[in-house]
Amino acid sequence: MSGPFESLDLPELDESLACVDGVCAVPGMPSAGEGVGEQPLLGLTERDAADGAERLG
Amino acid sequence: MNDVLKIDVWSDIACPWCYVGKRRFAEGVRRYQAAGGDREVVVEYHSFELSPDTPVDFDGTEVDFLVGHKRMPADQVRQMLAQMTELAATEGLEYHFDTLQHANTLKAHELLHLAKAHGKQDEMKERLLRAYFTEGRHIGHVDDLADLAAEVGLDRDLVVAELTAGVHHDAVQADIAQAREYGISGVPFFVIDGRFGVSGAQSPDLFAQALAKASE
Repeated sequence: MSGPFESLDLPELDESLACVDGVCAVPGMPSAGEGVGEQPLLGLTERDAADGAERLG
Repeated sequence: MNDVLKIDVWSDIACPWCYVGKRRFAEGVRRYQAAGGDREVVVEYHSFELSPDTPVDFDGTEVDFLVGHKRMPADQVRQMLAQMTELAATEGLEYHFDTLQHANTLKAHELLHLAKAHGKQDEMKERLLRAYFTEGRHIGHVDDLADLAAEVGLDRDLVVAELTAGVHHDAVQADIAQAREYGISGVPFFVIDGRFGVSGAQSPDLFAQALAKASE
């Protein structure tokens, strides 16, 4: 955790869902040469996908 | 108990995770309140430049920028952007990296400070993100920014005058310095109630939990 902050003690917190130094990678992205969509979109949990689908109707 | 729960968000406009994070955080606030959270959540955006070395006019595509400036293989960049586009769509966001005009965001950050002074920062942030990721608009020139500002109800002439004069330049630099002091290396970064730091576009449930914890 950055800075002088108190811990939220939330184990699911994933700090990789951020842009760092101009690069905005999606965690779990397949390495170069592998097809897009061959691996699950990590950082997008099943619950997130369900949430998104629900909100989009 | 203080009725206001202040959230300070460090973010950039040229930041796909920041747009996603804005949506997820808004949903997190809704869930926090639906679960009985009774504090008014007030958000203030702060400036962070992910790539301050970007020229105002970058002559090339997003792929060209990341290959040239970040030394990433082109295939990897294309995959990364495709995945980000797919992920953003799950939040109801349209990303068009093929038409996106990569640009320096310094003046856009100055505009966000101007908008804050007029109570329109959230609308301005939203308009800039949509202009950049969805509409392929340029966000580096004063005239283009003034057009977008007028759309959210800001005085176009005032925007041109203040951005040209650099009235808000120091405020942007102060935000960047604060981020450095906090040790923020990635955005979006949420500071909740001045006490808790959350890095990244977390899930709405996690944001709701964080808000509940900060409300205790």
